[in-house]
Amino acid sequence: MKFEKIIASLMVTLTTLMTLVYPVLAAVPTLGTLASTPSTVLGKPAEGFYIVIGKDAKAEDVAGAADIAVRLAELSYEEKNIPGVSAAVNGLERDDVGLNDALSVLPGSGVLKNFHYTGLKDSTFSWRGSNYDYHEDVNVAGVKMRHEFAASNINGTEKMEFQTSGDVLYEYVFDKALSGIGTATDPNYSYPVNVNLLGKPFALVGSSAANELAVLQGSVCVDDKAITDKVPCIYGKYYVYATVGGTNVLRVAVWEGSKDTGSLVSEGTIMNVPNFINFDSLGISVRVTSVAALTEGTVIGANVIVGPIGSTLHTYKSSADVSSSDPTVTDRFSGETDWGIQVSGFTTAGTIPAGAKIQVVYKPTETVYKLEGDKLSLPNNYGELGFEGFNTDKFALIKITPVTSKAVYDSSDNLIASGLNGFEIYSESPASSVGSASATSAATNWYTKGYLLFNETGVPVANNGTVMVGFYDDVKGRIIGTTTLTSFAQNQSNTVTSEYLAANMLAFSSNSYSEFTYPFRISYGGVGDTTFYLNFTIRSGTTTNIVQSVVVSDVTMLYQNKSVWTSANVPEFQLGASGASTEETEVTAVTEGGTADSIGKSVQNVVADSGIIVVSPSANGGSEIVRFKAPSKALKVKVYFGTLGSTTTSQTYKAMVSVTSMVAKLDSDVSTLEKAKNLIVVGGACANSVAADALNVTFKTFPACAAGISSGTAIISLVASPYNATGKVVLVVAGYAAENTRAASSVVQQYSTLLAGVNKTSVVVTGTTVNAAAIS
Amino acid sequence: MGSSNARIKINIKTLFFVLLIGLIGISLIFYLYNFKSYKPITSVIYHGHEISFRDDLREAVKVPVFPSKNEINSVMMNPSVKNVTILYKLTESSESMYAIESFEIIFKLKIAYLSNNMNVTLNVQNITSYENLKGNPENPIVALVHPIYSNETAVRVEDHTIFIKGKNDRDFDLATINFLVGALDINITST
Repeated sequence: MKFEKIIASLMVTLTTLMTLVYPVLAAVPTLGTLASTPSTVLGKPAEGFYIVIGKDAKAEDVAGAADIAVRLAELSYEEKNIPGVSAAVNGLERDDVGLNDALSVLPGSGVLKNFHYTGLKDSTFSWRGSNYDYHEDVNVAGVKMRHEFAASNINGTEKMEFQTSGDVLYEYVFDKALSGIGTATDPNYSYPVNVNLLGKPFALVGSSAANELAVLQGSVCVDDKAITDKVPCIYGKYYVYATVGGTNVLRVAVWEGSKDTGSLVSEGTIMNVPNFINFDSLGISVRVTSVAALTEGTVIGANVIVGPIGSTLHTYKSSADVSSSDPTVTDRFSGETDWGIQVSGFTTAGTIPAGAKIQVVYKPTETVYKLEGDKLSLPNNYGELGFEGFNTDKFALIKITPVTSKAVYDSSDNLIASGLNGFEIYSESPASSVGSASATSAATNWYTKGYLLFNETGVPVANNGTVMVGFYDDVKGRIIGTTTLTSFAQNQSNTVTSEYLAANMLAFSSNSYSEFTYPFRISYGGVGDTTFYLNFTIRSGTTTNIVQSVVVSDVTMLYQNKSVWTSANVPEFQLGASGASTEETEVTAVTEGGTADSIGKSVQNVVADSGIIVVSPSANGGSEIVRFKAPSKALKVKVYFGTLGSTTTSQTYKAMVSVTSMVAKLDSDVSTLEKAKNLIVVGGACANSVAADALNVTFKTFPACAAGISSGTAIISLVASPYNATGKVVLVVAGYAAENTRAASSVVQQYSTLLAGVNKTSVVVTGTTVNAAAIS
Repeated sequence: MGSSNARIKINIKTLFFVLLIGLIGISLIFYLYNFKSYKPITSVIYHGHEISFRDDLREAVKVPVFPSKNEINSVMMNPSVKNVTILYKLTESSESMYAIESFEIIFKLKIAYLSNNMNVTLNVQNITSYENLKGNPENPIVALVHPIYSNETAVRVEDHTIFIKGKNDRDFDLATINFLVGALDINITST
């Protein structure tokens, strides 16, 4: 045992020496603030530290230690986010469709085939021992993207338009000619051509030269599905059995439900097969095309079609009629009301020419518009055409507001001018920026706010400083301008003067010297992103109509004088003629070309041809505000055809944070080794010697030990280690009295809500309970 | 008296031999310390966390537990646990040991509960007597018995109440650690 102790002592000595040496070698972090404390002590302590409690701790210190223990333990796990996964498209997806393009811009001029979406077949079918090529395609060339403001049901919103004439066609295309199927008036029931249309079986039995195609429809029970006395043809709730048969004659029994569980509801005999029988009371018809029976009447197999009365044999023509629900008339695809069947290319009776098509066409009763996120599904879920949204979700959100009484400073913080009125261009989305005309990268000359301000010294002419451009310096918290031309031009400092603009911005002006255009650059992210120019064109020679125009790519804002500009008064501005009320004409936008539309009273966002999206003009105009979104790149529409997989939403989970060596110590037990670590000290200098060291006050002796802490308060203070531990900190939670320490500990426990935003190294906590505590 | 000018001569072989013996000695110490159970165990890895303790776990597990270590775990880590209350009787002098042990218990139990997806609150209160304490499956009690109130060093489990007792400060520490060893189901072999 003695030997073991000697060994242990030696190793402890070695370890101590190494630990003392290590901090000196370690990197030196900055002290930080309470807000940044997560990187040091309270948040995600990646390295060891100790909590130090005074040897003379009171009951309140016990509770305080418990509060901090809970906080620290909770920090050992953090909420992590698993981002959602966007749905993947199985099929064709394009994000380069113009804002008012027809979908003929898609590959294949909008006729989509198997190689665009594998759900569309390119295969063969068999008929009388031979194979015939066919393929499926979907023609969406007629579908159009729209955003015209003047069109009702569009109103400036980007939408996918489907007209009643039939903009979407599913096509079953016969690639190889076939003959011998019978005619429309004399169908060949013996050898129907069985195909699957949108996945549903169809039996073709005749064609005519007048582009007509005779088809068996309903429940087609032929060949391997032929019925017997035991095998029914099922149509809805009805089960049709062949009870007895003979040459060209068949007797059928109609059951509601199967023979095992249902009941017989009707019977009938069909003579002179091929022929049919109607069961009027049931609303169904049974068409028999052939019968195979033994001499004693046992049916081996009867080919039958069961469906609504008058529809089991239907002749389709070149134009689908979906308006009627009468089964004898309608061309509706089974189970659909807006999809109908029509044919194309049937030019010879009894044959199916190569290139002939059976089409299933979408013919809604009125024009249908699909919004972003919507889709049009083909019957039988055979595929879908979807409008996913725009090609980017990154937009700079810009707010333009008339402002008054603004002061401008130079870069040395000297006041240049105050009491200025004009316009504020505010980038509300965090990533986006307003830039000066020379802003060319993300790093220089991009700001959250830009200003165009007017002085009272007279009408604007060049080189007199009456119109100023400034930008908001977030650090200084003020608008910065400069009177020196060179500092902007050469150093790209924070702002430009009117002199500079007058000299350099004329390139942006298409008018004479009497008009100056002050361009502000708008960009989502700077480098690589599209830049839009917000141009304020100002007139000289007038005091009442000094704003010629405020324009950003296809969008014009009718800002104008609210008050006259005189040598004694700076002008105020308003949106539209009437100021506070919203007017139709106060904002205009070009949508789908032509004359600009007046959109001032639009409730919804309006997409201009340039891709600028004016945000709810009616909601903003009354406050003289115009909000718009500027995309990060040329705005296009994202569409797909095929199927869209499921989207997973983002989720959170608790992930472990590496925490080491969190151990509580009495102040009297804190060793040199432990003093080299980060420390959390609970209790003031009157009860905790480490707190006294950290706060550099006398230990235990009152009132000297309470120096710096007022009666009824506590402090939470982050200080550098008093033990020369390089880069280490001490967080002192100390109260004037024990109950104040307790309250401060509770505040620490609620670090996330009470301290995380504090950019100071120390706060004062007043009160004795966390609920009543005030933090200053 | 005349001055003497004595010189000690060490040849290279002797020097090498001394260094070799020294190196072997240090290696032996290192080996024995790390691999022959002489090194105190003050931390363990629990669900990926390195959890440190105030004293040697090998010593702590020698503190007797009644009726068994498993009973601590079944009380503290029962899925029905909603709230844990730590109780202590004031000493009327210094409560620092209570503060130390409360911190140790709360910090480590909270990590254990978070690791096991259990939403359990923990709080601490002082009492005037240790008599008639009775927890329940949802609200177990941990009673800290200060050395001035205890004549034994042990961990006792009765009626969903766990008494942690030590005859002196270090034993109180060791008893607390052994309670945590049981609660967190840490396997340590004492020597």
